[in-house]
Amino acid sequence: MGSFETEVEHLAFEDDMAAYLLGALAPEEAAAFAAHAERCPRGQREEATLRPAVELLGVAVPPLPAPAVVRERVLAEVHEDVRRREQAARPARRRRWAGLALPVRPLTAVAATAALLVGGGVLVDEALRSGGETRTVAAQVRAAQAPGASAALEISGDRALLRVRRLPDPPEGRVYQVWLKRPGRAAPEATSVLFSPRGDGSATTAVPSVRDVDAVLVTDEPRRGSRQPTRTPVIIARTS
Amino acid sequence: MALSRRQRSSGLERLADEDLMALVRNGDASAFEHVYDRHSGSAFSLAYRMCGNRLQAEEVVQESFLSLWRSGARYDQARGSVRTWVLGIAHNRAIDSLRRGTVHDRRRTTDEGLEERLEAPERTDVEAARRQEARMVRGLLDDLPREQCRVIELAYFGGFSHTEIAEMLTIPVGTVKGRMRLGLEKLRGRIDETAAPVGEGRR
Repeated sequence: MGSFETEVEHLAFEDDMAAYLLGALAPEEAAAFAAHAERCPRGQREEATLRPAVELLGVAVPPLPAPAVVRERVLAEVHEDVRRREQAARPARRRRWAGLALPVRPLTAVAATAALLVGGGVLVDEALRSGGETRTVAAQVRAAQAPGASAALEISGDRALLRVRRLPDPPEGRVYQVWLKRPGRAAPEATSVLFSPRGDGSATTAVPSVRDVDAVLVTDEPRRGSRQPTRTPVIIARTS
Repeated sequence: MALSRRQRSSGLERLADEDLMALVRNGDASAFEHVYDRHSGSAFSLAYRMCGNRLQAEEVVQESFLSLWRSGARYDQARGSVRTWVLGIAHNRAIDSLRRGTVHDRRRTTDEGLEERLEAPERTDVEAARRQEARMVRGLLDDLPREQCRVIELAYFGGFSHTEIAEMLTIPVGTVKGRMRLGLEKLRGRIDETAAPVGEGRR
């Protein structure tokens, strides 16, 4: 978007950079700011100047060990992920695939892309979270961008987990970003959830909240995320 | 695996953070355990300082490390140590957690006496070094002009947005951000002076 015309404008930008690095911008502001700063070499220099100072703050706290129970909980989920991944890799557990030709249901805001979507396979995934009902909905994947990939949304109350398989790496310098489509609003809402798949194409991402959300979308965006999607969704998961 | 679990485990212990992260990215749970053990304390310490209560801090640590494990996020060595990276994730998660609550909750300072209960009687070298480091940075912060220190603390540790800070201190938003920048620039200047390394690649 070009260089700064006045020193005043640049100082204002530097001030914003400070607020951004401290986490003091609201999410929409932060996304917009990051998108702008990415394109600005002076911005990158400013960030390089200020970031070490911010990072220093993180250690200016009384050191405490994390309670043991956290380790148990974290490792329990980690080992569960490993177990599921190993199970999924076994040929005996065959996933019913897109041969089922699920009907494509166009969404209001992205009707134009409906023709490019193919129904995702139904994942044979028996894992349920303990405590509380979990339902799993298959997501639609844009075959042109992610051939052979599949995704599903596990919803438990207001929380959800997006599980993805065989997703290709995002294009160079880009990252996958999660969006929330709310009823009655044309533009999807940005979240700060950015992810890349593992070496085997799998990824599991927590979706902040799916209350009042029609669908969870995934697009690839510049490294720090965007305020509005810049690409067609590669994954669309309807919540109902 | 040709190596026994124990043998392999002790091999992992000798790896630098960056190398462990490469393994984690490929789904190596043992490597992840080592990363957790090395850095969960830093994450919890920051989260507890910010949230003021143990349950919330535990949740932040849990979410941070599960995100680290699941997102496949590529740790980029060029951007700093694994420790500062983990602290960055924890900081973001803590801010999210604080903002999900009410402003009133955030202003309430909770003292659960956790420091006394959790501090291990045996003081390891690492703990002592961390305490020293915390004191040093705390000193740098206290050396800042008060108004700069205040906005930085409210933002970084309190999780308040610049507009909230402006309201709280009844000053313009631009002033808030200006003080943030000046304060961070001063801190950066002090860092350059003292050349204090924080969270190097090795343990």
